[in-house]
Amino acid sequence: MTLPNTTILLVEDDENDVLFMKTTFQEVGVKEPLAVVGNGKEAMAYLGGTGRFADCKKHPRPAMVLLDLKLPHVMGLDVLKWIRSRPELRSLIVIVLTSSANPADINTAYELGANAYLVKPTSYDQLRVLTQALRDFWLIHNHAPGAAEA
Amino acid sequence: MNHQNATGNVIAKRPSGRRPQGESGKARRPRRKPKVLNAEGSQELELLGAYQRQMCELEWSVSASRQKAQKLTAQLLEWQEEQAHFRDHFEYAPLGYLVHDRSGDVSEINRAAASLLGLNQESRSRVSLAQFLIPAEVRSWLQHMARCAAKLYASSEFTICSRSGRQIPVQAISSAIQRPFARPSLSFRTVLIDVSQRRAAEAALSETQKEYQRLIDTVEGIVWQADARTLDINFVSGYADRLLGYRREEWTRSGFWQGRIYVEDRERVANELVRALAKREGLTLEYRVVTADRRIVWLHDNVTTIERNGQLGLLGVAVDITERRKMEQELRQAHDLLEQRVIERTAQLREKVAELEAFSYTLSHDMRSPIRAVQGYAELLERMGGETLEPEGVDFIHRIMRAAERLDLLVRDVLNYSRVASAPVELKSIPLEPVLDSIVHEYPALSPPNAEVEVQQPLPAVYGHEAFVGQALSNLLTNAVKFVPRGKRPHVRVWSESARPTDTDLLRKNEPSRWVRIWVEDNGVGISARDQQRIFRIFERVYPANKYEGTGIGLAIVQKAVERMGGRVGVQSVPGQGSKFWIELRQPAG
Repeated sequence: MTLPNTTILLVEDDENDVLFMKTTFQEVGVKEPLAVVGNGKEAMAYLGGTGRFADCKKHPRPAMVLLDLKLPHVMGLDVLKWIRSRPELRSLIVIVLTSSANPADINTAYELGANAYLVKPTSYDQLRVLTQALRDFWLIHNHAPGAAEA
Repeated sequence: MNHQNATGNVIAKRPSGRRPQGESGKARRPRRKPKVLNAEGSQELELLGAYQRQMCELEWSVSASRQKAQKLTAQLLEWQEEQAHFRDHFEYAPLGYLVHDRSGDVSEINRAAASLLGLNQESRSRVSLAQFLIPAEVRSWLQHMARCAAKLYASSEFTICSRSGRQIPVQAISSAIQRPFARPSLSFRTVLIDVSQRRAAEAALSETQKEYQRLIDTVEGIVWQADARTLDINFVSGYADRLLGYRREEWTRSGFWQGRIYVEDRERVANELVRALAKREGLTLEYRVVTADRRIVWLHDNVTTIERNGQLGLLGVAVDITERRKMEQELRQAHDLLEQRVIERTAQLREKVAELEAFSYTLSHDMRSPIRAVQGYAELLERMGGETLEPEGVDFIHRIMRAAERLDLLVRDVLNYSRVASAPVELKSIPLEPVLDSIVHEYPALSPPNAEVEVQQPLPAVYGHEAFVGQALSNLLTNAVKFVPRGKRPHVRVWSESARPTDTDLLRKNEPSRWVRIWVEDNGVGISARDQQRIFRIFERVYPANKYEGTGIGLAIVQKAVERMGGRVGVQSVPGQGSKFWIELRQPAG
């Protein structure tokens, strides 16, 4: 992979939340493609380029990962731990997007290397605002780390 | 020719010639002056001279004899005086004095003896001691005399019957009168001492001692005395027998009482006693003793060291505390059991509470997902439907959204409450002014033009958990601006004061903590006395949701948060005249 990519990987198991995210992304005009996986195992497979995600053209490395913590089988924090353990993924932007505002979860997420921690808002309007801010800050203002590394 | 001078001394006067005269008038052998005469005359003169010489010598020896006689007489008088002197000693001696022979016939008797025997001056003579003895004692008297004759000394006690009929106990001390060159004694001296007073005193003493003994025996404790050197008992009260079953006589046997002490306690008791003796101190011992019927009795012994006649001794009173120890043991066991139960129950309770808390936390969390879905779809629906929807349909959608919102609020509040109830508390010093500042910033409802919140500075720091302090104050403030009559502008005043120590502080007798009371006063609708209790309970609301929004958890959260920091909450209010809520928190130390 030589060109920096703009795909956003959403790791979320709740289908309603997935729908809302997709809709708001559309509404705020996020052009970047949104890839979705429903659990931690798939997330790891995607990022590792294994299994059904082996084709990196079809499943390019994402510029940003939106990670829910309440996932089946493998907890979101474990996925985060896994991501940071891979040398090639260490600088990948991972933003936790979850319903828990538990200070313990927040602290642990940052300790494990999350770049940001967001709590899913309750109203749709607020979700839209969040999505817009997400995109503006992380995809436009922020300079992402270079993907080309030996 | 001889004459007596004034002092009665015979002075020999020389027939002729001068002679010196001294005080003593001693006769001097005359000195002849030689004279010249004829033969016949000188023969006659010689005869005369010889005659004169003889006469002089005769005079001299007579006067010498007379002088001797005078000397002897003088000495005799002296001796007679002495004798009279000693006679007086004898006569007036304070003890009865008799001189008598072996059979008791009295040859000499002094005044005291006479009075003892009831004799007057006349009947003094010719008495015999035998007359004064009571018949039963005659034999003893004979033995006494026999002893005296053999050993030259004897002392015995008799009862004599005086002439006046009185019976008097006496002590007779007899000794044989020794005469050189005499046959074995015919005379004896006897001193008679009236011992009736002594006997009476002895009897009284004995009686007192018996009474004392009886008194000691009634004490429900073992009164004992022991020798400090050997540790052997020399006195023990009757209770020792009653309590332990060993007779009084047994206790004084050497090593007896040490042997009755329970084996495990022997060494300790011995060591303590030795230590106390070395320091001349008293001590208290508790130890076990084995009774005659093989039971164990616990004794509480108060021991003191005493000194009598330079001899060190131990004195103690031992009381039976077996019952008490048994009860102490039982109490301790019950206490331990109770503590054990408390620990178990507390652990159980904690488990239960933790379960409940985890349950409610998870539940509230999991509930928020579907709530999010409902809200989200409702909004999308509204957006999608837009123009095609009937106004009624739009209204329904809005109601769905509001219901979902309300549910979300409830869930969030329950989440908050359960977090406040279960989160680990970290207490530290929290300055209040920054907390209030950030609260006012966070809620637009607390700032002009919506409301006026006046914070009277300075506000002290409190000792608490940061999140809880913030939560409590923000709930109080948002309440304060919420419950105002429509149209009225909310005005809230916040200030602090020192509070009195609480009753529990006084009960615990710790140094009373210093407390801070923070007041939040509003110009709202006020709360009736009946409602003032209710409002702190979960989900209790005074006003329905259409009047004043809210879930009814706000104050419950305040109370829980403050309680977890060790403080109290309260309210003072009159309906229509606003309310004054207060929370009391500790002041940080120092």
